[in-house]
Amino acid sequence: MRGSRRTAASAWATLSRAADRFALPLAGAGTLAVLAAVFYYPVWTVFVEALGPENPVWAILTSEFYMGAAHGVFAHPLRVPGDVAAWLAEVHIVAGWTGLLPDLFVVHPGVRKGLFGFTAYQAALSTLASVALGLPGAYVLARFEFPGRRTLQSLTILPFVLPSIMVVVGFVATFGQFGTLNGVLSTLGLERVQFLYTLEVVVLAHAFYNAPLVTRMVATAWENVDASAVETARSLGASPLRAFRDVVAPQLVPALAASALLTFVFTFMSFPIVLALGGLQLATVEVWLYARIQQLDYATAAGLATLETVVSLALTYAYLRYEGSQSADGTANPLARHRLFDASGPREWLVRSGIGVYGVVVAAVFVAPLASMVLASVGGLEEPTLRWWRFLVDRQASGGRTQPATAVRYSLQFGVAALAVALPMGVVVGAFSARGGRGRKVVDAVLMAPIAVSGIVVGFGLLRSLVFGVEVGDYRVSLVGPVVVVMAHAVAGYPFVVRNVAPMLSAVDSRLVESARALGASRGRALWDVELPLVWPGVLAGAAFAFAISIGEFDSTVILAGDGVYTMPVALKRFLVDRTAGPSTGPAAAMGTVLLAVTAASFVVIDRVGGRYRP
Amino acid sequence: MRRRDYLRSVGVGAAGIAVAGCLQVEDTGDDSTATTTTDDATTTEGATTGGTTSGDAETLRVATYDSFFGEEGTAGRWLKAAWEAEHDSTVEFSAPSNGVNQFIERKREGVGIDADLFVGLNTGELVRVDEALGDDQRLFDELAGEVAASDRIKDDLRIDPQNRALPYDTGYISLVYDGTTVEDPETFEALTTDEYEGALLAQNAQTSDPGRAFLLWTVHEYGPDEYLDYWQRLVDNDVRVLDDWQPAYDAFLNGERPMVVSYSTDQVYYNDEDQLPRHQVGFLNDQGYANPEAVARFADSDEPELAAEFVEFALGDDAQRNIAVNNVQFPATTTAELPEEYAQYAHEPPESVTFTYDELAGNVGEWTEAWARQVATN
Amino acid sequence: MTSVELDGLVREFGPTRAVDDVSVTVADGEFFTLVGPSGCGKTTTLRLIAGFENPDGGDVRFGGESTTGVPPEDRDVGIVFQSYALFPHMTVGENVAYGLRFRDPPDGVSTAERVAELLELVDLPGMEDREPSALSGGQQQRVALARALAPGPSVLLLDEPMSALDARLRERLRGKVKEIQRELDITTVYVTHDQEEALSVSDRVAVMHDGRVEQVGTPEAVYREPASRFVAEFVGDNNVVDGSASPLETRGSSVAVGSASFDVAESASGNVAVSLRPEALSFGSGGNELDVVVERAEFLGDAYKVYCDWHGTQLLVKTTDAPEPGPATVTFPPEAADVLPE
Repeated sequence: MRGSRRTAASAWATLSRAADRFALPLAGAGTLAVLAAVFYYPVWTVFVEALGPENPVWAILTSEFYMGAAHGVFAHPLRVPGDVAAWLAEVHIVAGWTGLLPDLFVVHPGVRKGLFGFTAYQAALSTLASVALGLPGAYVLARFEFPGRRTLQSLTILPFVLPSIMVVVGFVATFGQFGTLNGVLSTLGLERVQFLYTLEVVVLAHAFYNAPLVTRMVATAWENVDASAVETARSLGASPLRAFRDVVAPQLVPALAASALLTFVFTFMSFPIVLALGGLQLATVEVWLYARIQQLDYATAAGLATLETVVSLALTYAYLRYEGSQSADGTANPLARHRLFDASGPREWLVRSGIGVYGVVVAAVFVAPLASMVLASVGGLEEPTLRWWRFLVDRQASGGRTQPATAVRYSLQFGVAALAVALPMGVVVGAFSARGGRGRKVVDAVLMAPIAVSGIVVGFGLLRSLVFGVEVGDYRVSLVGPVVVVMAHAVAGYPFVVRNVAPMLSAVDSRLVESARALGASRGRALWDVELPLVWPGVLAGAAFAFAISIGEFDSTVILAGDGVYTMPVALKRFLVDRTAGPSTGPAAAMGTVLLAVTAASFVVIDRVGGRYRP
Repeated sequence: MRRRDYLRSVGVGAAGIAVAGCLQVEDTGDDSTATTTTDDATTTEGATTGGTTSGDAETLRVATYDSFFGEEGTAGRWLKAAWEAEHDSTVEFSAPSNGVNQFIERKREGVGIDADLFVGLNTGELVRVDEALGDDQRLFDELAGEVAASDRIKDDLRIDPQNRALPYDTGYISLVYDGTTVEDPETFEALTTDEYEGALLAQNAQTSDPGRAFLLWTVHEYGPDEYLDYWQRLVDNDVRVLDDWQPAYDAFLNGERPMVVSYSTDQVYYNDEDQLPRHQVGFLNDQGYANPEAVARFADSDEPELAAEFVEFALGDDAQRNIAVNNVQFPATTTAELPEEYAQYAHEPPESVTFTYDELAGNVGEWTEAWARQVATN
Repeated sequence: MTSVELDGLVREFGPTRAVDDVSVTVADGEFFTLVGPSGCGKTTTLRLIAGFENPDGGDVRFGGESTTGVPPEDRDVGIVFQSYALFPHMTVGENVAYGLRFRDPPDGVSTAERVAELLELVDLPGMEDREPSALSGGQQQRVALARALAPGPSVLLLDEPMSALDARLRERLRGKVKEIQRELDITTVYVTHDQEEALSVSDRVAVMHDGRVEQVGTPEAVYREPASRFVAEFVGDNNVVDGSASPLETRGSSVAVGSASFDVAESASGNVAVSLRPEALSFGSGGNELDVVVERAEFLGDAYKVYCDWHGTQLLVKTTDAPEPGPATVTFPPEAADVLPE
């Protein structure tokens, strides 16, 4: 009796030990399997077209339409020096006198940017705008204390989840001829300004999405600056400004560069915003890619996708290198925050009035579009109505095909489930990223590919591979349904978990892990027992992003889920095309307001439960 | 008058509303309803509602677009209810995420079609189907011979020389303009004058239906050699080409620009006294470009007779009227009549123009891409 | 019961060989020290023993059995790092008990008993509920030691465990470590850059340099008979003088350094390096006499370190009383000079 119990106990011990030992390799293998199934393989089915006999990549590289002036480098490299010389010969520097000031400008013949050139150009402008708009936010959040700061910080992630359709609606309502901004201008007696259909408004919309990214990443770096380093500089005679330049700024630059690169990658692949706010005149590579797929011209689409991915992967790799040089080590001695509503002396007042101006800009760019969506859901100020909300209630009550509450429930379920998959994936990859061996930056970039490959390519690949199925022997194996949706959401979100966790993991003393292992813990067990509790803030920050990505995801949800399964953005889109209530954005605005409220509440909960975020 | 009130007064939905109860997807909270369709990406409606599909009733699987059947008051819901009231078979709608391309792709890859009818095909798409699949693979088969009502389809809407695609309704692309701000331009040329500088909103012909129709209209007017010049003048006059009808129309509603490429039925939605002046329909050169929507039967259909019967039903006068009204379009047949109140606000152009299948074949892809390159010149 | 045998151990990082053909056998129950300057490969050697690194050549054997492919958690070693590496999110008690999650406590006692027993052993009784951050450096290090010993490992690995502590504490703690090691009779490999520490606690010492073992021996042997110039210079304060030796008729040799010379007891010829321990030198006359200039003296409490210049060569002399700066004579018997092997 006793003997058998001992055998059972030791069998259990052996089993749990084996589970311990294989947990990490299994999680790693699982991560790779999920990635392969819902990302690499589907994407590969698209890229493989680019290798076809038509050689679309070369055709694109040598096309003036796609490459602009740069096509010459590929089409006729020998003529390039001559062409450049000819162009230079046409450049004139004109100096004049305006009567008041000297006037100096350069006249040069136009350079055709081509689709790729223009895409990069608008991405660069968008990056600049995002940095300009996001940096002061980082300063305010990192250096000032005011009521609601933490909540505000957790809500900076909100733009991430908003479907672009609603952002467009909000932007038209805010920046349109008769929008809020022009309304304010005309009450001030100023002339109305045409904002829409300009490159500027597209850039601004990109900043709407990406400036918060800059804010979050830089604010985190700022909070990690050790106050004693600044104090040392001050004691050595540096002015506050000089101390900032010499001590603080160098520690912010890596975070700034990383967030800027990420912004560039995202805006390089931007799609719906460009066409809806800018028009086809401002077409980007992604716009073309989508149109080519629609026209079944898969070779060109694959060629564009390949070139686009090469660019964004290269930038992702650069981003990872930058991130690697960041110090992710939290400091126990951060700079003290100033109280925002408490100033003395003219300098402090000046700073605060600057922050006030920034607040007005933030109100215009971020709050106004969101507010105008909420306003649109009640029919605007002039004709307030509850009919769009009644529409939602009716849809719910009538048991129609698309019920708002069901959408909320599925969104939250997918969000939580995607989180449950994305977190282990992100932690495993993060552990590899932080402690892996040589060449890991390259592997890292490949593992981060989900943020570097366009959503259109992934969606199209998913359709052709998982939905249509793969022939295995006599059977066609097709993978769709809620489980696959969760996997797709997790794959889209897990890179953010990795990026939040990996830098913190690499800051954890490896001796801790080694101590645990010498004491008998397997690698996985050491990760669980020792490292994870120490990087928990990073895990939670990643969780917020993964959750946000899942909530906002549209394409793969529509492609992979069944009709009865729909999330908030899907419901929103359905209400938008639902003509039974007339061609109004009201129902969609109401649904968008629900989406906004549910996600805002989720983030505040995540934040309250788990401390601060670190993007 | 509100749209919903209007529909009620026309009395479209009497039968539809009565039957609506059994259309509901049973307890959408149950995940299994979604997982049962794991062999198919298309979204399905009704297949999993135990009651209606039980017994030996046949099922007709109709692939279409989302807004055709999504909610009560749509043409699809009416059709389903009316059909099922008279027949011992069930209609099951699905909305593949990328329309007919999904079936072209399925055919190419040798994946099962899993549908009997495709509803919502336009001429350009039919051309694309044939160009993508060539002569050896037939996605759709000949249908007109089995549908007697096809004789009643208006001549200028007969888009398919091979009699596969049968139009069931049509829209006319026109301008919708704010009469309080601009005059009716009346001609294509007027759109390039200073008076209409920065006034027009159009859509991307590569991805949007009305956008493509408007482009084809200009090709029809100026010919394949001249239309790009005309567009260059439009672009110089600051036309904006947005990605889809929705953002363009939304911008128009917001007063961003006074003219938008849209449908001639616009006033059906905006017909009270304050709204009418802001929703004027403009037919350029007294024309409207007909954009018929057609139904076609998949060659791989398991229920070819049932499918033909359903199309026959959809081309009946009653169905034609209801489809047109619910879809805010015009009937495709000569005999169907519209309710007076509806006809009052749904304007038909003095002259309807459109390209036939033969005219588009081999051209539409090139015309569209050349146009897009011209507009998008960076 | 476990000896640790390093057999031709090699570990390469890129082009550099951090550990270059190291072969050493640590006997069961022995206190063995790897000593050398930073970068000499001693820590890498320790990590190879622990299993944190895999050798590029050679093998580590525990009790005669190869450890190839055995992960660290299965090697039955306890390790203590310089940085303490206490788990900051666990209490002292949880830290000590951590290894007992995976191995039963020896002698069938409960986990709590074992933890109490070990905290007692390191003179920290009843500290179970403290947070590591609330402890002093020396206390943290003792907790780390208790944690490493709790599961009753067969080999104890100590990686510079005292380096972060102040001098007095270091001395006390190393006495404690030695005492515990004796008591438990556990095979111990100790890594340090501090030769004084190495000499004071070890049964045997291996002096490492550039990835290689220069000399293995008892502390006395290594100190008195360094096997190389490196060992002579590294272990203890020392004067290593280069000169040219010629055999004397009677016994020993004469070593010429520039214009001066002295006699040594060993017979040698040609260019040699001679080790003159500072404590073997004194001021006065008799034996070898060297004319030096006293530059300065450092007071050590029990003695003086006197820095002298001998025709351009610096000589260090350790005496009980310090001479005034200026000319002086240093004396030593020929037997005190050790001619280093080439």
